[in-house]
Amino acid sequence: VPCGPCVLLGVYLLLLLLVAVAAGFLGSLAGLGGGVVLVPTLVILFGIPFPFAVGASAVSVLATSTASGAAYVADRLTNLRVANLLQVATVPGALVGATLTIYVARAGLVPVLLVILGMVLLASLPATLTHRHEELPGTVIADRWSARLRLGDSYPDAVLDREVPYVTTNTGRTLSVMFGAGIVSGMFGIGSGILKVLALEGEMRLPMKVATATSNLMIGVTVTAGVGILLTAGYIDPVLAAPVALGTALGSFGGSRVLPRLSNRMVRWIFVPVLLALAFELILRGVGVI
Amino acid sequence: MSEGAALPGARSETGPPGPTRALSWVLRLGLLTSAILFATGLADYLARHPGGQLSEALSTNPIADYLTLGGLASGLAAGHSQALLALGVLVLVGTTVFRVLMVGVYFEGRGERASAGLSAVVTTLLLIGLLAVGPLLR
Repeated sequence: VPCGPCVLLGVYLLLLLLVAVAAGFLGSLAGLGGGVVLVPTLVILFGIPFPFAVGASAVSVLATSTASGAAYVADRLTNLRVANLLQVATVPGALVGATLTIYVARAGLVPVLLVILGMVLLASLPATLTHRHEELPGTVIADRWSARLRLGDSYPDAVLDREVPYVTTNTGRTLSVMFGAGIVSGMFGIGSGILKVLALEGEMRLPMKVATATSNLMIGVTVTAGVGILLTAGYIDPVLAAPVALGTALGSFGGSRVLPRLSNRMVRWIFVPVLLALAFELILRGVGVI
Repeated sequence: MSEGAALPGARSETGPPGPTRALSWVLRLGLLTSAILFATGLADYLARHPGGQLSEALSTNPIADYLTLGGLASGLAAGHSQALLALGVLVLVGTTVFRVLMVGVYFEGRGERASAGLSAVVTTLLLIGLLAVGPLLR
């Protein structure tokens, strides 16, 4: 033991890194930034104040998005045109959300919003389970925007061992959901990947793996819109953010190697418990249990 | 992205098209740079704070000092480990903004004006968020 207490701090940061690896791995597979795992763990187990946990979560989203994005773009799982279009809704949403946070916090409405968001996620569960046996979306009729912006594409599916073409639909509704996801992202410093995946798969009818890969790329951009606020407010602490970012990047890299080998059904079965966990976490936090 | 260059029926062994590969490498480069900065900064911080506690680090968070070029440069010049860590965060942020810009340039090069315009709008909004909204709400 070279220097006593510094090893303790080192061990502390190492534990943080290990938790972040798990968060990044899960986030990469489910299209999330890992905040689902990180924020409650940092607050409850590590005793880190909530605003700093949110700041670290935002950096973890950036790391996950960059690490997974690099792999999924190369694997041709990400639909850049879809991400490019929907970011037009998520980024303004994030700016509105980040601005709203101050007023909502002053009015003491944060717990109410957490409960509402949790209920919305729970309500989306039946729709997700409806497609539980679906490997690929059934017949999808491309809408006007999809055709005009050439949003439909194809991806190489390692499990099916073929190139899978797909088209998209419900662009308008998806844009509305993305604006809402942006607001949530801006308010809570998270990527809102869960809402993005739900909209990309449920509304736009992207194959599940394409939905999680595209969400992974989008979450980084959404969070970046609100990062300026977290940085200037001093909620991003470099010593805390660094191991979290390193861990999530490592975990995401691992996850991005696994995802192409999973079936769309398997990815959905990973996604559903994460959705449930997040919904209950939000509700419990809203009612003050955690 | 498969961006039309990847035709349905094409085998995955053909790999991603050039611009997509370039985007992937930009992301890897950004991630690697920030990871090196984080690892170096953390090792340096631990070495300089042998009796350090995380609560102490949180209470003396200097990130706001490193949000200007001058502040960051002087922090790095002085060898502050937290300046290195802050630079790692900023590299991640910069990589994200750059990749949006890069996608826009790519679409512009393909004559897809609508998609290029969307990228320009997103880049502008991101810069507004990073440079204006944060300081305004401070």
